[in-house]
Amino acid sequence: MIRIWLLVSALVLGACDESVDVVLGTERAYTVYGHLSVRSDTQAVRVYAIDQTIDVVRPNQLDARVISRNLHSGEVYTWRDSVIQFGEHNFGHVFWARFRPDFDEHHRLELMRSDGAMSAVEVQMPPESIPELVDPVIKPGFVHLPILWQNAPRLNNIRVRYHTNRGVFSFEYPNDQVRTEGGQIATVLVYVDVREVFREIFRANGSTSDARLRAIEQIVLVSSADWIPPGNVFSSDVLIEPGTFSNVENGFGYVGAGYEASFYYEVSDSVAVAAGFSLR
Amino acid sequence: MRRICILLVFAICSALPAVSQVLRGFVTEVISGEPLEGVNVALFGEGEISFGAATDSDGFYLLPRLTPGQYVLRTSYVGYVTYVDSLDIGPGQEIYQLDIALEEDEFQLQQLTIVDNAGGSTTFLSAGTERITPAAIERVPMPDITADLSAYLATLPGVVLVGDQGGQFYVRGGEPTQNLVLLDGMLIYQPFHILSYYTAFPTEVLRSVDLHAGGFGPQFGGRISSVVDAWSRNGNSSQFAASGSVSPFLVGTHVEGPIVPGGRFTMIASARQSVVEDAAANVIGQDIPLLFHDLFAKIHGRPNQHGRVSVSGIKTYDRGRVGGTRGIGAPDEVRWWNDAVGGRYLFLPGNLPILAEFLMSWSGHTMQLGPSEDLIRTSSTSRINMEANVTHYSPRGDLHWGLFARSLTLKSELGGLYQNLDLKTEYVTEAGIYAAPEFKLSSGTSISPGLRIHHFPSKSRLLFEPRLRAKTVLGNNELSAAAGLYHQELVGINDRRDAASVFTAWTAVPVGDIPRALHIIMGYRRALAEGMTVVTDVYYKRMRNLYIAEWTARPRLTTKLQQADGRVLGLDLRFEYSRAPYYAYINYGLATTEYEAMQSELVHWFNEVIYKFRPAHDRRHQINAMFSTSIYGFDISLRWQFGSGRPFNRAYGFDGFLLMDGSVNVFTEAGERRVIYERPFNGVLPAYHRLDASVNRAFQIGFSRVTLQASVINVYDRANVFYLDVFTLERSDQLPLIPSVGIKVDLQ
Repeated sequence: MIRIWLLVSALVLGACDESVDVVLGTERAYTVYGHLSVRSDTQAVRVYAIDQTIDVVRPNQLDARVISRNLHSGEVYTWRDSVIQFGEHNFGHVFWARFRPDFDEHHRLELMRSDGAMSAVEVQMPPESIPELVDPVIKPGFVHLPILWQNAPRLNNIRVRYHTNRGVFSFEYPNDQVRTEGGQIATVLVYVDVREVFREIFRANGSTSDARLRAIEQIVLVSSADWIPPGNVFSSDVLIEPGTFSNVENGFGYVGAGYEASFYYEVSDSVAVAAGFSLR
Repeated sequence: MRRICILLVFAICSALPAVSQVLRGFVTEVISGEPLEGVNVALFGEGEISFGAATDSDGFYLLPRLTPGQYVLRTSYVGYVTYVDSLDIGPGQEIYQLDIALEEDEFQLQQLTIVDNAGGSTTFLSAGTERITPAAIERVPMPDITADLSAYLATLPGVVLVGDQGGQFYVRGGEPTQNLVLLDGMLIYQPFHILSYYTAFPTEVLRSVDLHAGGFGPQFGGRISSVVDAWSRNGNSSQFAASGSVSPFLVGTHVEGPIVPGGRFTMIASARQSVVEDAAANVIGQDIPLLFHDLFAKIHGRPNQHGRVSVSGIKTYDRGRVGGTRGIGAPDEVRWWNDAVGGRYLFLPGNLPILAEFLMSWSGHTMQLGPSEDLIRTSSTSRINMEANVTHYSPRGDLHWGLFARSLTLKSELGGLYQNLDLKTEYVTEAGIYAAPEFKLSSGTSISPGLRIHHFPSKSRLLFEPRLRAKTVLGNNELSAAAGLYHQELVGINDRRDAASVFTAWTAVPVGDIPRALHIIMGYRRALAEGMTVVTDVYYKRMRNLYIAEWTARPRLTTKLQQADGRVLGLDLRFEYSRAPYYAYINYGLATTEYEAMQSELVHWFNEVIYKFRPAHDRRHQINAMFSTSIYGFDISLRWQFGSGRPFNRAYGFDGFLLMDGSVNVFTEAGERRVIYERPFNGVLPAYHRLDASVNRAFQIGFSRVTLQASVINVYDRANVFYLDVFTLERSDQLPLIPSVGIKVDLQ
């Protein structure tokens, strides 16, 4: 009986409450995006405060102090805030610091609010990677070129360019790669790409008979090992869900490490012919 | 298909009773000429009741397979003088038609008032179905002196109105677009006004409303939740009558009367215009940006003894700002129009014991949404409907069957509202047939299996929908059951990330499978004592292939659609007390609605392929209590409503999003704002409750009856949440305490 009365009392008291917490708030302090690169003298990350309303226009300083620490050498860098205006009422805060990390280094980025709340992220710089062609398959009408990126923990943003006498043709590749002991292998599917190359050349010139292939170039972002989205696809519809792809402690977002590198392969006559091109 | 049709025709023909002597006719009220339903028509042959029947909603009765002889006809109805006549059924004539006009019995009516005030109560027909009368509607307090079906529906335990704005009602877990709402057989796409206290149908013109909350028979189809089947009055056949009312919410008028002397043709018309934007807003000192009006007209005729014909038309307009801005520009304004014209011909063939009904109607609906100066989203729909419904009468049961054919045009310009939905102009045709024999097994026990075959030639789809209804009476106990399979080829697409969303785009099923539902309902009714009744319904609905908005952390109006399944389990309980001068009831509804979403991203977000959640209209507990009485000529009504909190999307905060798919330049990449949600619909709004009160006093002044009303809506000024915009933190509450006075004048 007492339980029933307690239940009824709880219901009545609950029913009297008119307030509602629309936004719960969170202990997490910041959302951070960016990547550190051994190819750049300036490192930068985009920082968002986690706000209680969406209508925040913050053209002034963000309440954040950002430092990074080289966990190998112990060096500390203080990052500075830049307010970037992307559009009307659209301001962004980019924190940057002048230093160039080296291969294989380990850095820790810390973002502190004046009330002591902090977000942090640790970034492992990838090692230097030397590409090489391994076991290409070159048959008439069927050419594919596996490229081994030695010691690379992960490849992202894989692109292929075909350098011809009729121009350069670029292709975006999915981030498919094969992990081996020596690194990551990303294969150029020449036999697939050339159809589109010939289509483009024909559209522009009305003929493909004199098209000559000079080189094939693969460009990749040699990335830190954890720069892998769920499902291996960078879909904004998936990744926009907070926490789905994040390495930030007590915060959201993703900070990776990587650098762009390319492998330039001057094709031989036999490869060009096998791919369907004329001889130079 | 051809074989099925042949089989159906064979079944129908074999069920036809052989033509023998038949007595049939219409029973009406003598002054108004309105049909009387439920009148007991009995033929006494040599001292025993030989044959009996009750009139239907058109006042029609038919006694089949009579044997020749001398009879005494006795036609009785509570509150009316019993009509007695002698009848000689001869062997030569096969069909006798006798139309009867019953006269009110003043003495009986007074006795009836003293003993039982239940004349205004709802009639429980069977599981999931009830008949709502204007008198029942008038008992429910309103901010306005004119009663409205909307206020009554809100008292029903399985019906959820998410607020007093927007005009969205959910029946037993179904969504508003899954309700079929008919007025005189015409489809009304948006039956509620933007101020949800009002439907598009003024009570002055209503004769009866059947609410099929589920398990409806095969004569209805194309919707998977419920049917509201409203019928208007024919208009007074002997004298002109009119009424006018004024309140801070609405001004309205209606007029009715005979068009030609003798009352063979009558008319009824009404017009209502909201004044809430100016008058009520001034009373409470708060902006109420809502405007609506409606017009209704009907002509009814009795061209000959074998037929009744009527033509009805309705036009409504609504405009207002409902809900928040989602952080994008000015508040959106929504506008909609309903237009419908329909004709009905009730035909009694001279030599067949059947009743045939032919309906033809056109219904149009347009809805627009956007900033008031640029309504960028539009959806318009029009439908032409032709149908025939036939009833064959037999002493052991009746056979109902019918045919229908429809043509629809659907046009939408959604301005990117649904990214994976390319809506344009669509043309849809549909046709079908249904049959529902009703077997009367013994006194009070009947079973009615049915089948509806619905064909969409333009979509090459053929749907089979079996239905079943059964009912038995055991002493004071009435048990009933209903079940059925339902499909909805034409769906209304909403953004139900919050339940306050109003804009609806109608389309043929855009992607995937057709939404369908299985209903199972068990009903029980018991008369506890004189004037005390308890009614309960237990129901289960399983819904497949529903269309809901995908979740996204993007703070925008645009979204994608995903398919979901749903499950509803509930219990409705109603206790009614009716003993003059008191009338009271308490309704309790317990329901749980659960959706299962299958959005492809779920596995990455929650590590689940299927995500179960409570949709925004899942109100677990609902209580409605009403009390009315008369003291010294004052009619006093009190109504208290309680609804437990509904789920909503609650946020942790807001940040931004950059797609880190490569070496992104953070100095140039603008990114986008993002809302950090909890799991979808994890929050629960505060409970809803409200007390309304009204006092009416009527005076007879010459030929006019003047009624004054004082009412208070939301007596203890409860701040009930209507809408929460998690992006702007804008909270919109339902109407606060509103005192109101109104006057209504009835002229006869």
